[in-house]
Amino acid sequence: MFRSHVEKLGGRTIAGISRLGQFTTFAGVLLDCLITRPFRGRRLIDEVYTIGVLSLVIVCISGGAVGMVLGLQGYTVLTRFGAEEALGSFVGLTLIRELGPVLTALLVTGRAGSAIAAEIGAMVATEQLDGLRMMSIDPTHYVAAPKAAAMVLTMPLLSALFIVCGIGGGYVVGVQFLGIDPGSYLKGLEGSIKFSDDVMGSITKSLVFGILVGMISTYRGYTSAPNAAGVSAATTGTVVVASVLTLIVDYIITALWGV
Amino acid sequence: MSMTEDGTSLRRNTEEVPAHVDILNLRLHFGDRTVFDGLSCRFPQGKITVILGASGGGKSTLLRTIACLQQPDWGDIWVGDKEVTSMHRHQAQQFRRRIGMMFQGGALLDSLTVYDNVSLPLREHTKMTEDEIRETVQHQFTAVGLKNVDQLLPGQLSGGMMKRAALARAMILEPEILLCDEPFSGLDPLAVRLIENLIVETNQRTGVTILMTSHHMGSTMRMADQVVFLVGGAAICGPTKEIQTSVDPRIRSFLRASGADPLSEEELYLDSGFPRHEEEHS
Repeated sequence: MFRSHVEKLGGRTIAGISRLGQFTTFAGVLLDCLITRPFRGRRLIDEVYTIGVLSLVIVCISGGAVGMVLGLQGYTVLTRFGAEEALGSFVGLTLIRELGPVLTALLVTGRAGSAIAAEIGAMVATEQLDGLRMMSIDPTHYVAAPKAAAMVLTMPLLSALFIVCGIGGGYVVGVQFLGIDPGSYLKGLEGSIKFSDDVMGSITKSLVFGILVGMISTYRGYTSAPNAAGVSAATTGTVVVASVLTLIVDYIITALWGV
Repeated sequence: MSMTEDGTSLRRNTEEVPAHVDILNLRLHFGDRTVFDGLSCRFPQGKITVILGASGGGKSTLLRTIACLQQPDWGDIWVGDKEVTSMHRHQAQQFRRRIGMMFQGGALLDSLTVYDNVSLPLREHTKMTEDEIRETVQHQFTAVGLKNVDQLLPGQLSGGMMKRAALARAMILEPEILLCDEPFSGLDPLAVRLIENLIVETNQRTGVTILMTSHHMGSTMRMADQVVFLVGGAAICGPTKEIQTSVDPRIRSFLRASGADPLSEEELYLDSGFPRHEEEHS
């Protein structure tokens, strides 16, 4: 009885380490594909469109809504200390340092990361990746690398858009609905945000999340079982793993570098 | 090989033809299941060889192993003077330029048009101009009998057209070897005959060595120069006529099952892998 539990635990540990090794190897191959010719510019542009442009609406609406909520909550809290004039700083710093990169990563994971895993998984199931191999075309180079690169490129841009919409949402609630002076809202923003610290930290986080989501979604699709259940598992796995890792890595970056 | 008007084939003697693909002592397991258990066979150059066997008998896996898409546990596969099982990733990628593969479901990239699918290998591996690519692709379309499909997506093609497009893509780089995985699956009898003639015509026109898996006995008997029969993880090879007159009970039952004659229960369950009724109940 005890022995069987130990055996199961050992088996799972070995399987986990094996998967980690597979993922590391895949990441290495992906990196190699990104720096070796031919450069697939056309495919990269297509993927930037699919991941970036098609996510604009969801990112703008979510950013605006989050900014409005921050405006309301921030006003309620700051009023207790008689510091409601600091609403601009509160909304701006919260969005730039934390919520912008993290929520954008979670939104993009749900919309584009899952789609990438499903698309590559379906290509595995219908032998399209093997078809590429038989044409002497490396599927990692042709399919996975442009998607991962597009994810890394678009994540900071979408995050910036999320932040701008959020600040706009906070402005609407704070200035238009709650009567805060527009000058103090904008001045608070301008005075409290440091480019080298806050903005660069935000961009760094977005880039790291882009790498994370890009690699996980392509890897899960690439290694999915060649059937409908495999595609489904790859999609779900991408959303769960990428979301949880985004939050954990966010803590690690904040704790280590204070951004 | 050529086809007569009544559809019967005039076969050539495959004994004197050198082997293009030579498989030696191939072993492969998927978990507890043995797929190949010391399988050895040879595929003569420029001929059509049909691989027969029960479902799950390893026919497609054999093609995938020859194409370096599946690594065997043991054994050698010689293609010409090159041993392919020990090739690294990049070597395998280079080697595959010598092979074309027609997949069972076509495996065309569903985000690209048929034209882009067929022209993709040319864009990747040649320095042809756009005009040259267009001319080569149109020539290939004509060879496989496709018309007005350039801008269609694979999802808009019928089963027969999909097979033709897959054949066009497989042949576009003029490979030495063509692997066809179940080219007749899901086709009506007329479409089967058309694809059958197309494959034979391709073989005659280009001299390409063709390895084909099939369950279609009529086509096999009409087309094949040689038959490789997979049974119990091993291979029984021989000219088509020899296989047709084989006294091996496993081959006899397979051949009889494909005809109109009734089968005895002994023949039905022989080497099928399915339990018999009394075994199920016990």
